[in-house]
Amino acid sequence: MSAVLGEDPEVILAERRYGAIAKILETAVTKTDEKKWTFTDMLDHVFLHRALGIPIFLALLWAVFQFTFAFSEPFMVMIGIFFGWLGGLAEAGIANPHLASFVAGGLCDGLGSVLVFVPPIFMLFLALAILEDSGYLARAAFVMDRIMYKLGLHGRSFIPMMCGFGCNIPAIMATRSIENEKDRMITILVNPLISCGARLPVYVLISGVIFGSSYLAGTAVFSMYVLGIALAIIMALIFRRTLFRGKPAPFVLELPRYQVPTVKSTLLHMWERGKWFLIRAGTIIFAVVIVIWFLSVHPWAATEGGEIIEASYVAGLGHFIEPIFAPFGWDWIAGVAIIFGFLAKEVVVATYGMLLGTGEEAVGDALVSMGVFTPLTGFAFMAFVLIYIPCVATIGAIWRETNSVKWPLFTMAYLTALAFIVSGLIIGIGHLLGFA
Amino acid sequence: MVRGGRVRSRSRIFGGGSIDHLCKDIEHLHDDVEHVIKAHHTELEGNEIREHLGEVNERLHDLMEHGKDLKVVMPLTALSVGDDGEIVEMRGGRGMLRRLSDMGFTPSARVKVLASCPPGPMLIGVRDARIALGRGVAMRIMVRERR
Amino acid sequence: MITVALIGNPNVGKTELFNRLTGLKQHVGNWPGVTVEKKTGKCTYKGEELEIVDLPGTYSLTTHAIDELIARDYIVKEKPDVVVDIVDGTNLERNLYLTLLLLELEANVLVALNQWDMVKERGIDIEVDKLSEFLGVPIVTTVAPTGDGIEKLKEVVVKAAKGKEKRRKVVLGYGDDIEALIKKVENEISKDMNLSSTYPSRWLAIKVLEKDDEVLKMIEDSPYKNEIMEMVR
Repeated sequence: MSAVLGEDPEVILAERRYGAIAKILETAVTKTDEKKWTFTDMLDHVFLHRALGIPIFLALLWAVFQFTFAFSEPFMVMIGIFFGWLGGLAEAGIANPHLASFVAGGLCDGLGSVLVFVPPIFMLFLALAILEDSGYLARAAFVMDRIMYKLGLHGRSFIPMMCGFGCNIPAIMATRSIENEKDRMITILVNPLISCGARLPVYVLISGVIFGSSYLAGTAVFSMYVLGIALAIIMALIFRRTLFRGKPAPFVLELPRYQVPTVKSTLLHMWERGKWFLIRAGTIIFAVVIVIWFLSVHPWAATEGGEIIEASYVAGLGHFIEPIFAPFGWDWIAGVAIIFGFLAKEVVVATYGMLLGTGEEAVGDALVSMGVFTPLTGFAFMAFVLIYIPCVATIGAIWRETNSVKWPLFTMAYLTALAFIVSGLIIGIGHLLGFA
Repeated sequence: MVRGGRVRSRSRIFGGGSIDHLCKDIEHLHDDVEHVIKAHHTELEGNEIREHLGEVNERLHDLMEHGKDLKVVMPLTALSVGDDGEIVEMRGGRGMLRRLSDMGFTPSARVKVLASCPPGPMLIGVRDARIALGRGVAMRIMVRERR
Repeated sequence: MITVALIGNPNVGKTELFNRLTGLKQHVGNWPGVTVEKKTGKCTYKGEELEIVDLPGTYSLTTHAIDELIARDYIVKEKPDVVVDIVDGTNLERNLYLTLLLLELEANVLVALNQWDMVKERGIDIEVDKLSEFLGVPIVTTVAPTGDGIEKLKEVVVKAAKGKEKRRKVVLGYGDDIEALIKKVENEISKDMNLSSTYPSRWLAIKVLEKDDEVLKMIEDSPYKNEIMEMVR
């Protein structure tokens, strides 16, 4: 038999099948104008250009982020104002002081400060959906493969990484398209280092506090994204050398024709990814906000209805763990924020919002007047929030996608350790350079 | 060259290591046998030996053509953007071969290089589709250039 | 109720077509035991209820990738009433590969020739009737983004499910040398009543020659294992 079929029967059979297809097509199909360049060819000539390909991609990426934040800003402001107004209304209008405190402090300050970020996250996913449905994303994977390969990753790891900028959960789910187990695992494990939308509120808040509204604030935020990417690259290289030895799987990817995406399916696409954020906001964050609110206004008498936070349970908890974070120059509120931030990173801001008794915009001012963060400690805090354990929902996604308990636990451990190391380094180097 | 009807000595035939040399040697052998047939034309008339010699020479001719073929078989990575090729053979593990052949990369398939970003992937047009192949994969697909 | 499976190469517009057919009446879950998304939906045509399953986009039906295994298993084990193979008209050559494999599986295939607008625009002249005759299956041209041809597709699906569409069992030959081998293996396989009643014996024979893992496993359990394997020595 091997005389006829050779070493690789599937190849010969495939060849014969295509032969049969060719015969059929010969009689039923006539093509004209084979040599003419199609629209796709023309675009690819530019997008896949040896020299221009990557710069074009980076430019597009920058444009995507600009579009996302610029476009969503008015909406963010509107939502902020709405919750501020609602909070004021509640405080004044609701008779029951407990309920009033809950609605104003818990819901409006806490949950509201998180919902403010729904517009940019959805905009980001919309942009991603457009890139994907139009066919461009495959080209991005093509031009980035050369770099991905050097990092020990697969070109296909690229798209889940991109999704991570919106929300890590759909990003981790998107790794299903990576066939090679090792490639997939590395992509999953470093994904949490990509700054998801939930961390943005924290960066904006802290950098606003430290640097005011100068351009330094924007740079600080941008530097967090860069730090995340750099760490992801470093950890990917480390994992590739240690836990997941071997070369990335061979790159074989079909580049589809470019097409104008239909409105309906693109919106559906955006929704499929963005809804995870809403689900988290609606459930986990909501639950956590209630818990924090409760702990922050009780014992009711001592705190005088939530006015004096220092006397609440939350403060007790904060002071208890204060020693751990003291070397970093963070106070007890930061400690509490970090602990609750485990459940959902947006809660870091929500915590501040509630504990300081202010709405989203005013938290910044409150922090400034309290002198809580110096540029150095603030920067280190942002880095810590970037790196440490991802929100519980992300851990859940890792658990589901890897079908084991080992990997989520490992992720939690290595990320926490890395967070302490990196913030420690920042503080240490900062002190050496003479910063306070 | 044939002197007195004698074919060249063996050592000359098996000299040289490359395909080029091999092809040259086969060509010379072919010529030598031609000469032998012509030189002994009258003696061999109607003789079986002449027929056998003729067959031998046909086989040598086939080898010559095959040799010419081999010289122009190269890995896909050797083609430049815009070049056309025809797949001659593919090397690799079962899984990869399967995948490639399902997508249209089979022996005798026509391929065209659409883009190339060394050391990154190549974009190959095959059976009306555009498939990106990593360098390692493309290196293992042997093609014959078509003009 | 008529069960319809949608299958096709990646990027042919299968998702679009699925959305067009099912509207918002979709349900997303997972295929049992794996992390691959399973989409199902319903639609009605003249009183007939169609349940539509969106199989993963795939180039072939081997056992190497989980996507392909899911698609193949669904067709072979669940035996849907109709399998709609969505084919990209501008890339017929590669797309028909999957069609051939489906025909070998002897599924009730119906081809949706999608991107018909692009086909016209590019000046590709496809004689649909001839193609339909060669493949022995009904063909409907569609343009998923606009919905052209969707109604006709539903009509033909219902007709095909009821066996009212003209079909011809077409056997595409692999060439005399391989056909001889297939015949030999097929003969041995058809002796195993169990196997040959569940799956088409010619398909099984081809899979044996391809060294298909799943089929070889099935042969292992067959009482005729030795005779069959003897043929491929």
